[in-house]
Amino acid sequence: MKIAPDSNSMEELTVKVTRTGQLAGLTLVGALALTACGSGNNGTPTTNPSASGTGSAGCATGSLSGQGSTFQANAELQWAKDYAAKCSGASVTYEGTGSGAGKTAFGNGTAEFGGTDSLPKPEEQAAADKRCGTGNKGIVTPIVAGAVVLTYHLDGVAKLTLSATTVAKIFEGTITKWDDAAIKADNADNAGVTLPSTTIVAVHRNDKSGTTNIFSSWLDKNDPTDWKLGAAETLTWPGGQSAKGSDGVTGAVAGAKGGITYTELSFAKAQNLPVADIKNAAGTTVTPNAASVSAALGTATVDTSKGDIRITPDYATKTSAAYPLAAPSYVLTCDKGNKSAALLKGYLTYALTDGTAVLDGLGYAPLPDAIATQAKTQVATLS
Amino acid sequence: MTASTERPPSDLSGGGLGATRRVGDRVFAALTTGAGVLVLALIVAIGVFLLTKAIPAVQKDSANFFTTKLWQPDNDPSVFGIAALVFGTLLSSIIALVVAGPIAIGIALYISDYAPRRLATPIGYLVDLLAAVPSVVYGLWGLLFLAPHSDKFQQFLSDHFGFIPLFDLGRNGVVGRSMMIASLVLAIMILPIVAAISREIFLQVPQANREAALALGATKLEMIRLAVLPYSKSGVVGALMLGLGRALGETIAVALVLSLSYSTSFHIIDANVGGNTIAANIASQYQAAEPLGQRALVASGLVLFVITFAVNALARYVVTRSGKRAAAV
Repeated sequence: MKIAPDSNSMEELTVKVTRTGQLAGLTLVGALALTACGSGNNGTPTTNPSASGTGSAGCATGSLSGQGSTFQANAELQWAKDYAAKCSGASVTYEGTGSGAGKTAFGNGTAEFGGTDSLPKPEEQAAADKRCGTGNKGIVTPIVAGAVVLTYHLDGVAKLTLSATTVAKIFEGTITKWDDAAIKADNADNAGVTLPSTTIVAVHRNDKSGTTNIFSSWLDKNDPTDWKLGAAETLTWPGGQSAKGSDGVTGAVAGAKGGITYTELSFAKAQNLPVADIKNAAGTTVTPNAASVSAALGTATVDTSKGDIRITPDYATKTSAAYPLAAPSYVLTCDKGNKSAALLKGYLTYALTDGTAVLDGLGYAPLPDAIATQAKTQVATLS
Repeated sequence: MTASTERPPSDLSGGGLGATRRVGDRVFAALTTGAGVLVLALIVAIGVFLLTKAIPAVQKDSANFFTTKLWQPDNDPSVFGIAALVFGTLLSSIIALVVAGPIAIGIALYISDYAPRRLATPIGYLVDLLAAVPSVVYGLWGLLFLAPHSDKFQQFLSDHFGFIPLFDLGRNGVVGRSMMIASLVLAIMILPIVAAISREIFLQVPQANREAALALGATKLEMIRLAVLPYSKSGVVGALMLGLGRALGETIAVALVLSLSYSTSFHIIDANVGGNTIAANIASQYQAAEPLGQRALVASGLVLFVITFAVNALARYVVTRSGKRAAAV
């Protein structure tokens, strides 16, 4: 039995992934990186490449390429641009190719770091360990947190509140009209909201997706009686419509009156779609934002037994200010044996410190303090 | 040096040494042979690639590969099957052919026999132009224009013809990105191919046959029925089969337009039921697939390869048989 895929087939795979991948996205990444390179140094050039970028303001020169998770792509693009502006001679690129592709690209050495929403499976972990060299291994570091939101298309309804039970029934197909009694009950406190009798068009992802995993885990933890599909990256949907990718589902909702889907906040914003508030397990109605997402991850379980930081979010958190559909996104690197280790350390440290300032505006949230501290400590040990 | 006797003497170009011509001939013969062998080698290479990737994947499938209507190869245990994919591939292609075929033949006959010459040429160009539009453009057009603007038409079909299972919306049905819209986009895509080839074939019918029919007192319709259609039947069948082949393999247009699911339903206007095709499934699943998932997709590709081969073989059989019959008449 062969655990690590042979290098030939991986090469084929990368080529195909790139070809079928989001060309527009790649072009954008490239363009941003180039602009960032050319825009020179507006910040203070505290150049100390010899010290291998240990300080929080550490700058190192060279180029670094990462790829993977689309969930963290918008944040990575902004960081790459800002870091290059801060540190002259440093160039970081990130391609949003998907978590699976990111882990694969790291494993076969085409990327210096991989972005991923899901933890590496044994096969992927083995490939990462092999790439890092004898005695070294691939480790994950949480880098940013984000919310999965429920976004909808309903004329005249600017505010909507949903509970886990109602969402489960909508996506199971047992609630089919927007003026269903269950939805009305959830919105009893929202003055002036009149729900029309439009048929609900529930749109889900038809590709394997970490977003589907977060969404279904939340339903599975909160209402396993009404939600029978379990928690996974692909589900056996009983009906409803589907589309590929976050942009696909939000596009489908934008084009269908009565539509609802789950996606990352930034994609809902891009289509100008409203976002529903969620009733959490404490019974509080919460809006997804940086504060409520960080609050939710405050009660997450952190596993450091594998020599890195692996987080299991608490989707049924009882913290009253917490938005429960929150999850971290990771970067996959080597513990030792990184190529351009100084730059990698400098860049990731930047992302976890100064870089957190841009997150709220992009629809992300900083990691809660406890996890952020652990992450910074881990990044400082990279070599 | 007996080669010269095997070749027909060609003295069109006049002077020149016989030896140099023989070298040129030999090089050219080698090049054409090489091209022919290359095609064979490519087909064999693709077949071997598909088989070597597909067999291990199918062996790891915990369900029946041919009857399962699910696609979760990366789950543990791995579950995937092509039943819904093959169903959707055939259903959408057949609907597309039924819709596009008569219209395309109509266009071709209009150009060859009805249109004034001034009109026939530009219409012919337009049809050719339509064939050159990339499929992603048809897909985007179907998704952003046709699907939203056909809601009323689909609702009308459901309200008045809902007793026909094809147009039944059911209890939770919603019109929109349905199998019917995907099939219509396919129909529009294969229309220019079928029309362009049929037109060329109708133009091949000897003018003498047409004039003979007319001289015997046939009306224009009778002339087409008696002189044009029988003569060009095998060619038109070939054109239809080429169109069907394109519809079977169309990827991105279907992946964009259709709400993908793994159901086998004849309710073609219900977007909540949706559907899927082999090619669209590959397009939607490949990017996120893990190694086993990718091999499973290759296995589904092998099935499409076989279906396309079967369709081509059938087309050739039909063409040669009807050709023989035409010769016998």
